[in-house]
Amino acid sequence: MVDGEPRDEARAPESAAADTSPAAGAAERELRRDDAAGVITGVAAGLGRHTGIDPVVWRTAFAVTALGGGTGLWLYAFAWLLMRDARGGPALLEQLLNRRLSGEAVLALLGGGLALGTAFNLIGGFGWTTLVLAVPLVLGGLIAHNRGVDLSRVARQLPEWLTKREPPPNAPGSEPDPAYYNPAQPWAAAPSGPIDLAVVARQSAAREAPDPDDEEDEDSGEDRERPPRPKDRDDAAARPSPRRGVSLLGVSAWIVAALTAVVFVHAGGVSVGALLSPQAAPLYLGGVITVCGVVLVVGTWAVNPRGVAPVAALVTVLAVAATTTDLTQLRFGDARWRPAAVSEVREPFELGVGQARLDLTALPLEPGQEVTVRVRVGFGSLDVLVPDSVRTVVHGRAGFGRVALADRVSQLGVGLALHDTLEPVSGSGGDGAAEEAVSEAPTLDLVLDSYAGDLEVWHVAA
Amino acid sequence: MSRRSADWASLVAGLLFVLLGLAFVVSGTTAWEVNVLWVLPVLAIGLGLVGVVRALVRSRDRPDRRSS
Repeated sequence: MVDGEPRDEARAPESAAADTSPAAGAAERELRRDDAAGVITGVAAGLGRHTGIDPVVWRTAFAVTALGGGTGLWLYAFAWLLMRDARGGPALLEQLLNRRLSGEAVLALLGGGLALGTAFNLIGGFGWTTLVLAVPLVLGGLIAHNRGVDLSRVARQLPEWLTKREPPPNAPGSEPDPAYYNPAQPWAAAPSGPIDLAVVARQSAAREAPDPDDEEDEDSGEDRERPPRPKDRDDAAARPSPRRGVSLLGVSAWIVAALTAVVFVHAGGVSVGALLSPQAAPLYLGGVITVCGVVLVVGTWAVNPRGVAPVAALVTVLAVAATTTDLTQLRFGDARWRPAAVSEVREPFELGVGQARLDLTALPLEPGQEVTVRVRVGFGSLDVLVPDSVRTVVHGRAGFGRVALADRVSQLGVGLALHDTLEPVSGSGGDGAAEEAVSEAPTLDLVLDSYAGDLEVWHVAA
Repeated sequence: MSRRSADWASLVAGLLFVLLGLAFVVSGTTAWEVNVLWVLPVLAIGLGLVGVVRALVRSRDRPDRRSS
């Protein structure tokens, strides 16, 4: 995915012919979201426009890598934070960091993020999710290399790009409607009330005069009220416009930082639990949401609060998650469970992201005993090993991925729900003693749950 | 802060998030608990309302300018 080349020779000739305006050229040189051609937020469309790769390829890459522990989801969110808006306004991270990020740096960061996700995935061992992440990473690197991008140079220059103290671009001002000014009726755009014909005559004369020097006119109060001409708009674009939105966002960031510091002081130390535990999250995150709301209300009449609403929405979702689940207890990476007593399976086994393996072969079970085991893996894979001497009733549910029961049942897709029973193997001889052993075999109720991943239950010899 | 025309969609979004944020704060400080099952639908409906307001304001502004 590290593709540092803006569109050049590789650009499709038909699209190049279609967009020949200066604005379109700037949009291609800069890495911007493309709201017009986008499906959700215009991230993939913007990446496609900048790199010359079909946006469908980018969307597919995000969707496929999302299967690898949700990597594609946070990469998409990361890209949204890094990319400028459709009009070339600064990206949210550019505003927060107060520095300019080039398109090459953004693409390198995305590639680095995918490489990091692949590395984290390898911590839990090599699996199909590793392939899901590694294949787009290798393909992206090959494509970039094929286009002349020196990946080692990009890796060396990335720290320099990130530490360069160049301010982010200014947010573009709102474009005046061309219909606002009518040369035939210059007074039509004036506010209601008496019209000073002397002023109108002076404005008309100034507009018809070939003198390009507008500096003198700016001193007169009347000229400040006159509607902008196309040429004035060009001049305004050339002049640095005030940085709308940055200061308000900066103030709100400082308020949130102060709120965070207060929480840490109150908790007596810096910890995630002080912010996101079920007891602390409503207060802290509720405060952050309220600050964002106040900023938006102020932004109704003052500075453009662009970017605050999506942040507030994300924090609200985080607050919901933090109040329903103890986020501080989420586990990431590799988990191996091998309970040796029934008391150890009373609490559910949980893993946020990664690979888990639950080995129930050491669990002592009495004949006729029924034990329920609950396992929840948010994103990743889960292997459950059960002894073949017990009856295993499986209730598996996965939002997306695969659910497999030994070699018998395998489901792949979306919204999976599997309810099936694995009968004990050791009692399948057919004689009376064996049938009695089967009927009195202990029962394991397995309740497996996953948002996205691979759930598998295996029978192994006891 | 530079003056600009009122952004009513920003006002709706601001009120939405102030209400949601205060609901969380109140639930964290009192015995009253916010029902999180309602939060996400309220958020979705509120953001949809913001989009509607933004579209209405834009559609109102354009004909006004052209007809003047």
